[in-house]
Amino acid sequence: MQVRVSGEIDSETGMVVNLEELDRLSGRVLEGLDHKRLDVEVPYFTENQPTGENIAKYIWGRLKEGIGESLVHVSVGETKNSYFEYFEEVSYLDEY
Amino acid sequence: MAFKKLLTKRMEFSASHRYWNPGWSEERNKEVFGKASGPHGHGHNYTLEITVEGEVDKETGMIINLYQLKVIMKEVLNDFDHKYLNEDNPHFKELIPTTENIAAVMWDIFYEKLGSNPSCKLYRVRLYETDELYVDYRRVEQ
Repeated sequence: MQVRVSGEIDSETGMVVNLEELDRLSGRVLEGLDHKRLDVEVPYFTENQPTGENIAKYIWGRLKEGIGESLVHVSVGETKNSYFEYFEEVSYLDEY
Repeated sequence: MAFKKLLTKRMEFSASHRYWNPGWSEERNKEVFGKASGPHGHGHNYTLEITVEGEVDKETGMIINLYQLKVIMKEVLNDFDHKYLNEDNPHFKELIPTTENIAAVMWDIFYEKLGSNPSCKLYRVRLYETDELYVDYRRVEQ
């Protein structure tokens, strides 16, 4: 999984986001998925097929709760030859 | 709020090419293309990434079935894999098979094959010539 954040560099910390905080938030989301039979053990995937497309969307939603505005892009690799991306369309920038 | 949903599939192929502009002198070709102008061509192991954008089907949870995309990519790559592009692939009879031009040719082929249905259409062609060099080709409707 790749998570992209975007924003202004904080003048006091020199950071866009605190990486430890980002690790903690991402880790919490992944904990809910890791070593799970998704379609049985994770409620979202009892309603939605656990495809790469839907996993990316689910992760976006969970991360958004913690990261908020700064979250701009989520990418989930399924194999080394396929991956899925989920992000908000913005009119002035076609792609992050 | 609109969200972009992209799916990317990667596939490798091998091909050879020669950079040569027939309208130029040998000196000019050598000057511009260097070693790539050699008369016998040279080869690369390319990696093609096809990215599709669309809507996630409620019933399947998919934008496109990855196996279906794999079949399409294999079919297209038949005309590229283990070919000397300058001579074996008709697209390059008059077009120098640079990575840029190969990506552009592939855009047209995949755009046609995938169709322009907004729920599943071509978003980007990314072609790696080596690990260190790739070309992105997209055509964006204004």
